[in-house]
Amino acid sequence: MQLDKKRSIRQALAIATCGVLSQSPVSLQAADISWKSDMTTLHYAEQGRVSVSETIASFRREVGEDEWVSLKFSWDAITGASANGAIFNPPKSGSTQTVTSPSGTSRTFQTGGSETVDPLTRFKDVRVAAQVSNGQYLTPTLKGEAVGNLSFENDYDSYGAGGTLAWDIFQRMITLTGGLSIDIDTVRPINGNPPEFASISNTARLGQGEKQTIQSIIGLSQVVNRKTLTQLNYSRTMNDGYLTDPYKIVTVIDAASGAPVDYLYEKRPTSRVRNAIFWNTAHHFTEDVAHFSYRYYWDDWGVRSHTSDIQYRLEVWRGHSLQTSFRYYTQTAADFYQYSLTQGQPLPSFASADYRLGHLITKSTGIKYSIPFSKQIDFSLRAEQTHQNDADNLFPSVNATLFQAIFSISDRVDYAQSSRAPP
Amino acid sequence: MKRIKDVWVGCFQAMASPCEVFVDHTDRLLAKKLFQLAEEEALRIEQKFSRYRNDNIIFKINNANGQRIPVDEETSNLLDFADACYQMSGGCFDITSGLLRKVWHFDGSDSLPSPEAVKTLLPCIGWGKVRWQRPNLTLPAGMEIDLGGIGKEYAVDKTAEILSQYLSTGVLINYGGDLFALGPQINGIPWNVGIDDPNATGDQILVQIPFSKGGLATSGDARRYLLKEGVRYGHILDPRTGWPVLNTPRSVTVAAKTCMEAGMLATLAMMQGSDAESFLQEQEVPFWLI
Repeated sequence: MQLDKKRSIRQALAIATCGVLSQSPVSLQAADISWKSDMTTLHYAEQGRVSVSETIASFRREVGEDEWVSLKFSWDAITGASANGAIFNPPKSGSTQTVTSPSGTSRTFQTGGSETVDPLTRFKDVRVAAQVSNGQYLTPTLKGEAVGNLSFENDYDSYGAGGTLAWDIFQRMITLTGGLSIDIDTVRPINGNPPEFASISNTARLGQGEKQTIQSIIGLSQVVNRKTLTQLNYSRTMNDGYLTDPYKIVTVIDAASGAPVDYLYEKRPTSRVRNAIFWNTAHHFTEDVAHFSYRYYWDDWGVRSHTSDIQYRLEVWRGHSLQTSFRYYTQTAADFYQYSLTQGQPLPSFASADYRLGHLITKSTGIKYSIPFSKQIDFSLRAEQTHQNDADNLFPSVNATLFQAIFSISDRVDYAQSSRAPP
Repeated sequence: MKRIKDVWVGCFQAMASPCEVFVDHTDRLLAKKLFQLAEEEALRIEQKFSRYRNDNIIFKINNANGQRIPVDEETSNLLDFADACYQMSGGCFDITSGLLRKVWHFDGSDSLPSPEAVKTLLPCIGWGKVRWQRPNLTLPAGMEIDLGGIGKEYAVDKTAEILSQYLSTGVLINYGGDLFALGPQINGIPWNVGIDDPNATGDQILVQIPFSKGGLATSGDARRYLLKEGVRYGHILDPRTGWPVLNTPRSVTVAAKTCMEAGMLATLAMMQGSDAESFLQEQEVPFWLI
């Protein structure tokens, strides 16, 4: 048998096929709904300082096609002591002083000679927070997510809202991200905010302090090859309003003896512009995964910091994995950071002796072990040891330990999370 | 859903065939979604065009008893395609030839039907007897249409069309041996597709084809034939005679822009019997003959 005009068949077929396949795709039925839930509890303790217990429950559920909602609740209990800015080991001590402390508790110190304040303030607080978010694919390559959050402490409220857009381009090899969020916070210590640069013996108090935060972020993540993913972000955060910490004080010392003569509440500028560039690369070996990240931060208060983080996850046996991590952080001090003020000198425009604005070096080492109980349930334990020291050697160094237990349950099997081979 | 060497693989059963979709992407949720879309589309097409159901347009057409049946857009497109294939092949490809299965049972035995039995069916076969004026189809009573010869390839192309809205590379669709690749794997390496050995079907692979983009389909008699007095009667029937085409290759694999084109070229090549190779050479398409 012979076909008619053999040679033209291919072209004729191509034309005929066009008619069949140029239809618009049919409407799709709703996908089955899946959900995921995580419970985590964390205990962080600094030796002789603050300890924090935190419990977080989060829940995420897909609602129909291309859309999901997630809810997150957290509860933190913070107790202990933190450095309030008063100098450690003053030359001689003096009379009685009272220092108000965060969240309504206060403490009196018995001292003799010159006036001295305990450089550690005891406090106790509870924070509850909730976050709700809704995300969806606006087009097959554009994902949008809106987030709302609020949190309450005894002396601090925060309300925030934001949104992010993620756009996949170049065959999803590259994702561009943009986000904006706004937070409005209220600081209202139980006894009111002290006037800035007022002596701690001054009992005058002001109303609550308010601040606004606007954060914007742009980012790019790229699939370098099937084993390597890299990500670069830039974020800019603008804080405006009451940025002073009402619990921090600065010691005024006698120029000759170095002994404390007074303590003033600190004063910080009313605006801060913070910038950060973050780069992260993850590489999958056959089974193991290595992460490396670096962050450079700078702000208009003069703080610059470098953070490097290395993580390696080793697949141990049948889905069990062991992750080790090491992080190194250094920070320069803010321009107005001063360990103490000298009596008789004019007051600077701003001053803070908060060690967190000082010259810091922090090293953390951590391990995390994950055990898959079943295909849907994962359990992990994490421990981290942190050593923080003041490079100027004015504040004692702090050692902290962190323990965390994470329990995840999901209705779907997540092979990607553990990279384990399918059964 | 499973993962084989960094590639997500979704498997399901549709159109009486094992179906697989491969997604080379880091996003597991995306892969899962694509598998879902693929399965929905394959099952939708099966449900709509299967001749084994009594609730679809094919049943309605085949049981119209000579009445004119108006059909929807998608069915019209497929009928136009079938019509074009009938015309360009000089009647070699004919969607009304399914009736021949009443007498031909390709079970590997030697029980050929009697020439009379075949002859009595011939009056009910022939697309030329059908009145097709989009969107109305009038099938003479006693005749039947069967889109089985293009349905699977159509499902592959339609699935590719849907998935291409999400990914434009790193996806391979395989519905019972009819394939479409939406670009190579993420690292640029082509997919590795094997051609089944017709003598050891399912057990052995004869040729490895590097395959990056477009449709790929195979036609063959591997699983369905009759053998009598040393003559192999493959399941490719000539609708004009009602008898199998003799001396066909054991297997013809063709690559083309779409799976429908590849499948039709492979089928038409089989109809050429011993001339299959020269037919494919004239078409200037990549092909593999066994």
